[in-house]
Amino acid sequence: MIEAVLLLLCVLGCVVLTVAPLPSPEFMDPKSPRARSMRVSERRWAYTLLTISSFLFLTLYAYSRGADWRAVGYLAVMMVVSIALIHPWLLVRGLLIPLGQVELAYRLSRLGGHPWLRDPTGGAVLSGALALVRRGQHHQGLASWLEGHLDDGPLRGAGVAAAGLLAASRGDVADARVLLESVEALDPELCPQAAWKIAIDWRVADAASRGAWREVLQLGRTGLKTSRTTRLVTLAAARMTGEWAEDAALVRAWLLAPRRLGNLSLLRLALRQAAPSVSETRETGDAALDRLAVVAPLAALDAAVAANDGHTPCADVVGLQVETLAALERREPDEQAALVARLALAWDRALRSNFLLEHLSGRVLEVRASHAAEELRDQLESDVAADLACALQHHRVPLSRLSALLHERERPSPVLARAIDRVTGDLLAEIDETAQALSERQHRLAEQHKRLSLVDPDGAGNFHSIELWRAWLAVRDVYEDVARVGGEQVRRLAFPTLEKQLGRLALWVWQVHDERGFADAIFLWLLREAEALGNTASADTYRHNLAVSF
Amino acid sequence: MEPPHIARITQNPFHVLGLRPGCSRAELERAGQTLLDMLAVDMRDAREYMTPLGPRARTAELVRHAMAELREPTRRVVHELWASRDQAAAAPRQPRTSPLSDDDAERDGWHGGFRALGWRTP
Repeated sequence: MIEAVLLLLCVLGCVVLTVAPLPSPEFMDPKSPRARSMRVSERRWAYTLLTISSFLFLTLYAYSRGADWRAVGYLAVMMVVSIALIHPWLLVRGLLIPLGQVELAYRLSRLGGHPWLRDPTGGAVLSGALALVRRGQHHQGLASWLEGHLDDGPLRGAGVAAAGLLAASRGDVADARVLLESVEALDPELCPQAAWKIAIDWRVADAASRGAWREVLQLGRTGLKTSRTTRLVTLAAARMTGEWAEDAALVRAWLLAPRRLGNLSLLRLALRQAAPSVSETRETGDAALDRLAVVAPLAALDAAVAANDGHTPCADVVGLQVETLAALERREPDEQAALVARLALAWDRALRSNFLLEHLSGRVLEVRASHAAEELRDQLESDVAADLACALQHHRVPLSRLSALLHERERPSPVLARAIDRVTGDLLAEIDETAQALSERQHRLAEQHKRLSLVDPDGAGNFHSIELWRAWLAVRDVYEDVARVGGEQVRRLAFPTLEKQLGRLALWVWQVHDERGFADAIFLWLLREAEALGNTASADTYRHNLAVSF
Repeated sequence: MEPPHIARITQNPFHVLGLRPGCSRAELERAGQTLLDMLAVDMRDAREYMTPLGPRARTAELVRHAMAELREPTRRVVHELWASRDQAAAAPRQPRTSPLSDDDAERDGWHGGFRALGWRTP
């Protein structure tokens, strides 16, 4: 009797859990991805609860009827099989991924369950991709097959992570980095935590293998719960960058992390790196001079250029240009700006000197050149401005820092002003081209979709969301790079151009393809940018769109 | 392919031909022809030339282009301005790197990282 009541209570609980309305229907659209995820999640947990309670009930019932331990054993096996079918990840992770069984991992994961409740389609592809990267060699056929299955459902966190791992598997590291980094751009409610962890694990491994220890630290300290391996690598990175990390803590993290044998080399590397002492952190004599050479020249420039006693008027300034170009490779952006400003001021001085004009006049006569000295000087000035613009573009030196440096001086720099104008124009042209390319791509896809819909009304499945996701990421990266280099002035000019195209794209993927997660990622980014630029009208629109999607 | 601001220094015709800005027309022709002959038989000494930004590969095409540039009087005057008097003196100092520079970090990278973490090295 008691067993029957217990079972009935459990069944009732499961039914209530499954059919109960969402917590707050007034604030949540029942058709939104978030609501659907919650619904799936609740159903899965109800099945799990039902399985366990059935097992308990049947066990009690069997005992009450005098059954022996074998009956309980059979029931336990049945329960484990049932749970494995409800949450196949346990089997996939423990057996199929290590064995590199791509197809089986994918097919079993398609049953859904933890941890892919928020993205069952992407989770299944991610399971397959994990099995693929465990194989000794890349298998293009399997990778294409998996990529094809990404279009079976809406694009979410696990799908993006899967696309990143597939790119890594085929050796396209740059694409893998971009995609795995973009997992963060999605609404956390649409991104399974396991996908976050996997993305961070890969990025940590990538950064550690490059020796980019500071990047490892950034990744490992995002505040999210990271894997044990990432915790070990983060601790090692802290040690490698000179932060204080105890030997005991490192060894403890190594013992707790899986694959101890493989991680032993990392532990050794970290332990070999002694904690920084005071003498090591002090700057060496030459380094200090190098540093001064960057910071001081703006003040000391006039004296240095005035002392120019070279035989040709530009010898010293060309020498300075050579030094600057070499130094730009290894300096921080602020220092790069100071170096370019110093060079521009030196060129201003040289170009305005009578010595240059006299020298050019003499040479024009000697070699019987067809141009006047003034023309040659103008050409030189134009070449110098072009070179400075090219150097600024090449090293992505922030223009705002340069402008600030110039304002500190009383005299303007015509050469640098020309270079800055040129770079600003180039940056805006870059944004225009990017927006145009995005618009054309969207138009092409829309046309294709229209054609396919005529043939097959369910042709929405042919929408390759990951390709468009890549395009959106590329556009975002171009804009952020342009904004960083061009500063607020360029950012204000560039945002409206891009905003229009991205807004259209977001509405299209949302309304035509029901890719609300994708659209939300774009709206969220646009909202942040609009807020940063103080564009309240735009910010209100994006806030509204995000709220509707919630 | 070097960016234009670097190429202006490294592909200066005087550096390509190994001449000083004050050289005569005859010196220019002689140096150019000698280098073309040496490159034709693939002589090691001719395959590289020194620039203020370090050594660069020399090709017959580059030599011919440099000769053409210096034969034109106006362009020669401009190239003279861009040629350093002494390439060695103009070469930048190599600064000492700090203990935690990127170079060191690269050297101390965890090369087996992917494999140890269970990933295939891309």
